Amino acid sequence: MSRGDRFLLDLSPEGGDEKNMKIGVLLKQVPDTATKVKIVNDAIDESEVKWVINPYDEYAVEAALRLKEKAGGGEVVIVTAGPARAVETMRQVLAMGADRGIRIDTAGLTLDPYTTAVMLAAACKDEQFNIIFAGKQAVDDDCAQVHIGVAEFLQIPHVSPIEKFELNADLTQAVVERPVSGGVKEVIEVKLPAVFGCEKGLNEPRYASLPGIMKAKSKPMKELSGRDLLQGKTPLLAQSQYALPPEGRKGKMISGTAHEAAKELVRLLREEAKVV
Amino acid sequence: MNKNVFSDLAEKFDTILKDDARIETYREDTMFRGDPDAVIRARDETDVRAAMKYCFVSKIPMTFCGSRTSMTGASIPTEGVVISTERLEGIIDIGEHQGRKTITTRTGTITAAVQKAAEEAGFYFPVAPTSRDDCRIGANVATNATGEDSFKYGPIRAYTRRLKIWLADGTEKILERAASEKPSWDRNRAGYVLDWKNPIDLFVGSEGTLGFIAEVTLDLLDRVPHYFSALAPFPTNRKALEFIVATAQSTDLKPRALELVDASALDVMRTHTTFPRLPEAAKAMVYFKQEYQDEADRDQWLGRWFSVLEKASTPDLVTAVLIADTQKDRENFRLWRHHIPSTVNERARKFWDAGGGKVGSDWWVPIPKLLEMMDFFYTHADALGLPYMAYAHVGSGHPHTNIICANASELKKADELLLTCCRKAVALGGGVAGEHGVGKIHRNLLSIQHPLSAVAKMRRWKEEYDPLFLLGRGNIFD
Ligand SMILES: Cc1cc2nc3c(=O)[nH]c(=O)nc-3n(C[C@H](O)[C@H](O)[C@H](O)COP(=O)(O)OP(=O)(O)OC[C@H]3O[C@@H](n4cnc5c(N)ncnc54)[C@H](O)[C@@H]3O)c2cc1C
Repeated sequence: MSRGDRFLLDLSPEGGDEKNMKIGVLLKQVPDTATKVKIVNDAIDESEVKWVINPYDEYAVEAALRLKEKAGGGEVVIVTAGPARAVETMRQVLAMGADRGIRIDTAGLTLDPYTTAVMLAAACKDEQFNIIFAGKQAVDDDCAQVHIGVAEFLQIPHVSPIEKFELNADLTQAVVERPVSGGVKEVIEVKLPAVFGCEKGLNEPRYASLPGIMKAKSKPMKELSGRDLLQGKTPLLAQSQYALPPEGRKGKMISGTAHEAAKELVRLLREEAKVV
Repeated sequence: MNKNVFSDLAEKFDTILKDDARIETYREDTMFRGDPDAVIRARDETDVRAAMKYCFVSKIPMTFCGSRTSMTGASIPTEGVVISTERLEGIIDIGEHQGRKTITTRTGTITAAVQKAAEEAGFYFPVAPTSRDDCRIGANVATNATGEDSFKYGPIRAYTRRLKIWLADGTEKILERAASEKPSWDRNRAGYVLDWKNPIDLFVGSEGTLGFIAEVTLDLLDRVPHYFSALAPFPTNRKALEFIVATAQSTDLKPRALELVDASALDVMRTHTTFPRLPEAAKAMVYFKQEYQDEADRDQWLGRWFSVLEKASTPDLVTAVLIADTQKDRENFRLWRHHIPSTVNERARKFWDAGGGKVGSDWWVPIPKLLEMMDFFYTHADALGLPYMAYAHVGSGHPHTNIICANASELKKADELLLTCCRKAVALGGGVAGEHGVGKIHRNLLSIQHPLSAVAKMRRWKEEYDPLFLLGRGNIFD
């Protein structure tokens, strides 16, 4: 495909109702990337983990909130599959401006991207979203499969990762930009409903405001049973063992032009490595 | 000075001599350009002590430097050697001292690393200058540094429990507080503290003029408190200032930090790449932090702040108050705040060649006098017609005002205004140099702050510890 080529995914004929845009956001709570992963008894020890919003999901939340603002109405609903601790992350997103939350309780379940997508798709189906945003991947397992599965099970189009998102005037069709190799961008027109995986750079996620945080407490939060949504479906993937990667010598990447990089290299050799 | 002594030094120590291009790094701090004859990059403490003994015998002036983030030229000499602590990094011990939790660290440890080590051990060290990722702990003690959170926690003096000092001739002195001793929380005025009881207080804030701080033991606090950071927009500087004064005097609100970002400083903050969009009406900001115990406590604090802000700001701006309650978001707020001085310093540096640059203030006044003082500054700065701003520790009556001067004649005028403001601050019961020290470029403020008799007293103390005036030559005294 050459630069700027367009093609049309025309899978869904229905359009949206502007005032009543119902926007879904798939949200995952993940360990902060600064967390030191510890393995105890062949499982990840969560006792010292700091939990945060999956960073790519923040772009999804922002895209959803902007869309609602642009449409002049509607609802942003966050859907997350996770244990009770995920509520804290959901509250943070409600404080940013989302309207309500659905948590699929996963306590006691062993999951993989397939079963997670099954549960999320089932919850989304009931909600009849006009559009669904997700992060392009979760930074814990980096699978980048769940939102694809959700789109597949809902039988609606899917594009990921997107760096640009625009909606046409009657809010029925999105034009998105997706990077492909070699610095080339695909520009894709997608009829809604559809699922989008959001990439860094799509927008600058907002901060929670003081009134937002105060209101978040009283926003509705529904809980669904993961077991019920799975309807007996079981993972396709089994984890056999956890192991940390072997420790290597830490490298450092220096970016910039050759001139800038050389200058920075000398600075690092002098100030950090202290060898020159 | 005899060139041979420096070549001799180079044989004994890792030394950068004057004709070596690498010396350039050690010629400047944030505000001042000097001219060291040589730089000794001590490989360890033994090196420092041996170098000091050598320099003492050869009567070579010695200036100690950490990361040269000083704002006063204090770590840059105009003659003699620089002894750099950049390789003296590392925590020695986290444990107990006189029944208190303490951290003992080598002098060149980066401040942020001290905080991190304390945190990893389950404790908390609260004094962190905005430059905490660069500056070094021994230098923080040497300047009696404060930080954003000094509104609640005071300056580093309050935590300095024990110092290992080497005097100019290399003699070791251990200075320590008694368990019951309560150090002062006052901000600096200028030069040494006058009413010291324990000589440790003479060394805290001594700007490298009395001895080398070789090892530092600091009190730690018990827990790592939860807190949220907030940025509250206001329609005018005046409204923001009134809010700060009311909050600082309130018996109800107990923030950990309380700072002003005035209209021009906000313009700079807005240039940070991740700074969010704010309503156009936002013309100043108050940056504050609130600690809390648990979620219920947090919600209660949010409610309290909301209700006071509702009264103090406008409805649309209260809706735009930003809160950071995760590590990542709080760090972003901190970076935006740090973006102000680092950007302004960079911009001002471009005018150095033309004789211009930044004229920064470090004066402070007691809180009840803050509005009067700020009115005074703004009125005079407007009349001057140069770009200016005020930001930072205003909750403690201690803004940093910055005036940017394109050339020497502008700089002269801005310097005059600085002196005028310092006189006013002293008249209102405050100080001329709250946290940066006076170093070389603000030596003239000493006589604004103190009567001649007090300066003479300081000189006597200096002579007692450093009779040859070899240490930090040009700092504090002519
Ligand atoms: C962007 C920016 C923000 C800042 N924010 C703050 C702030 O919030 N609060 C604040 O207090 N300051 C602040 N500063 C000023 C500065 O960071 C502090 O004064 C800091 O303590 C200096 O640390 P340093 O390692 O850079 O020391 P240097 O600049 O290298 O030295 C400072 C002084 O300490 C002396 N010294 C250094 N090491 C020793 C030693 N081992 N023994 C004896 N004397 C020694 C030096 O001789 C000199 O007099 C800021 C500076 C910048 C550039």
